[in-house]
Amino acid sequence: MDLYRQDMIDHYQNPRNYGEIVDADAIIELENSSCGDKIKLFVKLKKDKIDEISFTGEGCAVAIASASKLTEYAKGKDIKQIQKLTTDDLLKIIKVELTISRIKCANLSLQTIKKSINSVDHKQKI
Amino acid sequence: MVSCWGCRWYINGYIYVHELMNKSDFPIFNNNPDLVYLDNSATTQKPQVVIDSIVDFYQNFNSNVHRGIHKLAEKATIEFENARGNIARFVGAKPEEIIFTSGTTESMNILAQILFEHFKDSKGKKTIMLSEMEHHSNILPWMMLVSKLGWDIEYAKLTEEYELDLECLYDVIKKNDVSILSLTHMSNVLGTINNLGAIFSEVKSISPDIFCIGDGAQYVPHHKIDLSNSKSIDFYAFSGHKMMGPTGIGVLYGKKNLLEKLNPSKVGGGMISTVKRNSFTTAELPEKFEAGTPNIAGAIGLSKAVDYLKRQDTLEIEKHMSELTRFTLDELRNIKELTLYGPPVFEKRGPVFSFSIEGIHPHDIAQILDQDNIAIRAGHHCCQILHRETLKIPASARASLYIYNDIENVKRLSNSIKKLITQFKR
Repeated sequence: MDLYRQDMIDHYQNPRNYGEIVDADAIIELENSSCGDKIKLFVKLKKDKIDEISFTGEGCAVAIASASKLTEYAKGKDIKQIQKLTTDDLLKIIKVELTISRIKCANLSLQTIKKSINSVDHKQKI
Repeated sequence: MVSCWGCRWYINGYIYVHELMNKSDFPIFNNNPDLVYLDNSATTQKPQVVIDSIVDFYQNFNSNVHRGIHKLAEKATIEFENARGNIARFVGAKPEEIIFTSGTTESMNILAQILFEHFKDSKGKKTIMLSEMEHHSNILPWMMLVSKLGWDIEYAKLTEEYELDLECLYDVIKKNDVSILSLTHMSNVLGTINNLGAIFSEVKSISPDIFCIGDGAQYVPHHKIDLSNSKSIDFYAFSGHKMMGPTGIGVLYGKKNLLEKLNPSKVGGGMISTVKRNSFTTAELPEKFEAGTPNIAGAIGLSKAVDYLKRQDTLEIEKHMSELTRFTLDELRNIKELTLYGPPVFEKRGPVFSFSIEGIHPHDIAQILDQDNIAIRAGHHCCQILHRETLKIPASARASLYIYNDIENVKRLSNSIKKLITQFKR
């Protein structure tokens, strides 16, 4: 499957859920220092579900398109379900096959989502 | 286009000598016929003779060197020391001035540790001077040395044309107590060639006691160097694998009178003369700095690579590379979406072309070129300071050429770049 098919380039150039959430419950930024990719994730929870999610950042097509597709997928989902996602699940969600050297580009947004969910104080939310 | 040994042809007004060496000497190109390999600043491909020499060592005379009486040890020692002599002659050095290391990185680490031993009891705050275009291998060992000695580190700035700002460099040396100056001979990102002989001479006329060190990892594969005639170069480092030799072998060169005065930082087998319960005396040069079993096969392989290079006509190679550099510069400059880094004048640079394209990440550029079987590199190329502070980009894409590359390779590169720009066009 061609990694750079039109829908990937579309998500890269017109990322969904791009922007900041002012009253987010958690804001987490992670970086891949080897290539300079940065994803800053904003999340707002309602009980155990992801109510609002957005991101800002810069990076390669794989990193940005993954963040775009993954935030689309995560919206409304149960946080436990998101925490259980593996790299294989992620690749199915974003519908690409990646070489070993590029998996870290896609994984950046998954790690950032998981970390931001974990950082929310759940007792306060329930 | 038919390729032939030394045949000349014209394209875009340039005269070309195509295929100085036979590409079929390199098994990788026979095994990957469509490969356009443009990642030579990272490592070069190996001719069959180099591969054979390594196999020959392990199959026919594998043995440890020095102090062996048996025939195999004798043969291994002779071949290993012949390799040292051959490599020494190639760079205009004496055999005892050639210390085998695993590569430029280890050479710089060993040198920094040797100089720590030298300076550890000295008083006063001194400065180590580097430049903004240095590879991490020529920054981090000095950073560690500076932190151990409580010294300062200074970086010479670059001009707008990506050359060393020599006025800035000389000014820092005039105003500070600089003890060590270490500069790259050719930048692995910008391709900038620094005239180290002249720069170091000028520096020594300002302050004669500065240790002047050259990082030759990128320069030696492309240019003839005569270290014994470069009086101002005190130490010099280079790697075997960037000049068609195997990985894991490299050289630290030091002027004999300096190496004799300095003490080793790495100790153990092979570097001693006598060992008593509480003391030891060191062996003569160069063993004094080569503790442990050396990379014997690596040294033999590198010597074969040197032989292979020596068989070529040096002038023809230099001409081929400078014409190829000029052609590549023109090809890439014609792509208006592409920003090319490095000196604009082809005479001032080697065949290393780092570039960026607005709106397309270097990793995506490299991946798409790979789909067309063109191997380039993307990232910070071990030069984060240069990327972050000078170029002001997180990463770049880099195509780097070597003697087996030709004009067809460059055309494939520029065509694929043009294609990917269209693919990403909004």
